Amino acid sequence: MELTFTQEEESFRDEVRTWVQQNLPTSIAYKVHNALTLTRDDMQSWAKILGSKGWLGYGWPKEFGGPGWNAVQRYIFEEVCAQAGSPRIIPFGPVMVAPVIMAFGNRTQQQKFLPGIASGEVWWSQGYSEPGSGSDLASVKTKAERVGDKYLVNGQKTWTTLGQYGDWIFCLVRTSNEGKPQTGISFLLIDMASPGVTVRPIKLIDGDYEVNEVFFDNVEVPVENLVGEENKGWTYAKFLLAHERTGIADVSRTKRELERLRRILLAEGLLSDSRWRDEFVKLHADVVALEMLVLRVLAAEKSGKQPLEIAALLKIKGSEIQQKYSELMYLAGGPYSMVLQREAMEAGWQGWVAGANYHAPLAPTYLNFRKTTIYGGSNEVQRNIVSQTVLS
Amino acid sequence: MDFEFSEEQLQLVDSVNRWVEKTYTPQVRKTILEQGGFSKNRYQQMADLGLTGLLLPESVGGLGMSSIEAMVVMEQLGRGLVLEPLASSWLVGCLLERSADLSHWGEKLASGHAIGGVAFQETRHTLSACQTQAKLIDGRYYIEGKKCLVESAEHAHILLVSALLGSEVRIFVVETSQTGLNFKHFQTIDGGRASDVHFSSVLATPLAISADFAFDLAQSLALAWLCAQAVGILDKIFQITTEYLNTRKQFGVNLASFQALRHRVADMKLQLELARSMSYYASLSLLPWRTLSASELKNLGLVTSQAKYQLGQAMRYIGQQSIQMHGGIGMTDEYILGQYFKRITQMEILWGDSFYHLDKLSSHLEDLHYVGS
Repeated sequence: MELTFTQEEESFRDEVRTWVQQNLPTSIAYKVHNALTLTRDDMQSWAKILGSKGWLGYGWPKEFGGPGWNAVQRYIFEEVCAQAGSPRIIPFGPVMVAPVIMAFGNRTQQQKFLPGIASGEVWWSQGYSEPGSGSDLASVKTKAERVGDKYLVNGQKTWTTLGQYGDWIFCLVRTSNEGKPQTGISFLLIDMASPGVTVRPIKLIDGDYEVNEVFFDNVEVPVENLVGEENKGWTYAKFLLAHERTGIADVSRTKRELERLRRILLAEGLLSDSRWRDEFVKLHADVVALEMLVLRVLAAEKSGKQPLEIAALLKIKGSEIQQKYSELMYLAGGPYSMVLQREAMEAGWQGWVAGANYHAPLAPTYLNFRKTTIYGGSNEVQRNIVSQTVLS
Repeated sequence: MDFEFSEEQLQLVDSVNRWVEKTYTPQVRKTILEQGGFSKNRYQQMADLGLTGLLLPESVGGLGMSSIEAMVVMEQLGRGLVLEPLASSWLVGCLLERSADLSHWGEKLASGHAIGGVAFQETRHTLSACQTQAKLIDGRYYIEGKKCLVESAEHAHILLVSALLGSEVRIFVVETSQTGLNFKHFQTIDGGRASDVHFSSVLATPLAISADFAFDLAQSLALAWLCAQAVGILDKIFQITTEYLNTRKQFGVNLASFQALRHRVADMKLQLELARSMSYYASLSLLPWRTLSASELKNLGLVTSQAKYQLGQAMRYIGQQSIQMHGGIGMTDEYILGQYFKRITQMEILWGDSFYHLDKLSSHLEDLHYVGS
């Protein structure tokens, strides 16, 4: 048993911190620290900066051009980035589809797709959910019909995060109706510039357009874009989910956001209010416990011994903590939290501000974070997964 | 002990309900929202229904009804998420009535030709914190200062404003048509409007009632109506959610068949009925509002604080769970649920959030009592 990071890990932390401080644009960090709106350009330019260092695919093995970091190093990297105020890495390319292409794709696909993902040049989207397939993802209906050397794709995906910026999309498509639904699904890579692809942004309750519907109308996809074998797509999707994801706990970002909460409490004169101190202290204690749980998972992974199969627990607690701090921030803002002023969330805003400069994002963030217990496998599904490990 | 509604009250419920269902559909509401969050036309219809004068005495053209009629009206308006600020005008009317000062504005408020607003707030949640000043010059009072987030200011003809006269806080009536008023109008997350108001040498007329009395009465009335409105909203949210669970299928079965969700629905129902109970308690306690003494009003304040706290719990649980149980659809702005959720999110911070009311109850711990004693 050993709590401290090793000497090498601390040196690694210093090295990463130095590089991030020198290369993360201050204008972007400012936006992140103050929960202001990030543009597509903000997100993609950070991806390209990381890509130039070979750190966008920070979980990739050396064999595929990645830094070959172990679980602890990857966590340290995430922590340093979050603390410095970097945007979240858009995971669909570097964290989600790339490992699938590496594990199940052929050489041609790896050579064609991986460089664009690693460099940050190509923006990837995820085509999983459909209007009739939320929790029951295996019931997807978007059809891919083999016609000669192409697939003809027809159907609709929904909740595609930032799909309006996507260059490519990886989709679970139905290639067979025989047998159980899971056995008729294929993993297909689709160019979003293909004729027949239409993206429609969906307005969410926070007033922003974070997700999309993606319609496929007789879209022609070369058969070379099928990853692995036809009708084996569900296995590849499950591989993705089983892939180590302590990131889902979002501890590093939460720690940074708790600082923003503290600043708001201070500005509102609430740090002298024992009720508010209680709330902060309770939340902090929960984050510490989750952080420790994450470290246990990382250490087990690093040692290669018995992995802790508890990703579901991390997702449950991490998402509920995110909802808690977003709610506390909203309430901490007091009456001015009720003003709708998305325009004041733009970094260059010079116009009128209701309340203080921290008020604008409070309600939108609270409203937006209702999603955390729904996406990525709802917390109901996560609890099913957990209970299945211990109950018959 | 009788919690049944009378025939007349049921008729009132019915007429408001039908008006909401027919003329205040989600589509209509969306249009009103996009056009500024207030429809003169709809407000006039509410006046024609007798709603603007519901509580005012018949001598000024009102209906002279009780806090129970007010409660059921607010519930029905809550179901439709009606944007027009009826409660603000009611509040002004009630304070003027207790001040025996209805001669000038009573009729206009009752007929809906005048809209009123209450401008007491300067800092978070504490009404008595007052830096706005009133000066007596040549027999007339002038107001100088700023009030925050006044709910109906954009369309109000009169505002009740708290201001320091010397060392004593007094309540003043201010006509908004004067030049010394400067408004900053904001859209609020529920789609309505609120305004910061600056006063610069604004002519004002003092009310007879003390500021303390006005704050206590305003807060209790406003809280009772807020709770009633919330019950209407939560009723509707509960209905929408159970309908969804009964129709939406995943894994080949209705969501309603999952025990985890069934239990949660039971918990939502429990919260809803506790909320309804406290709304009844608050409005019943307010039946004698026209004659309550200052100390009785203080006691009543504990009841309405408990009601606001309980409603806070219910709004939070029912609201958050309703979105959760809808999955992704619940996150969209197009689906009606989001509009209800945003309103109750805002209502948590109106007239004191749950923490504020818990603090108030805590500091009066020895004075707490039960319904029966």
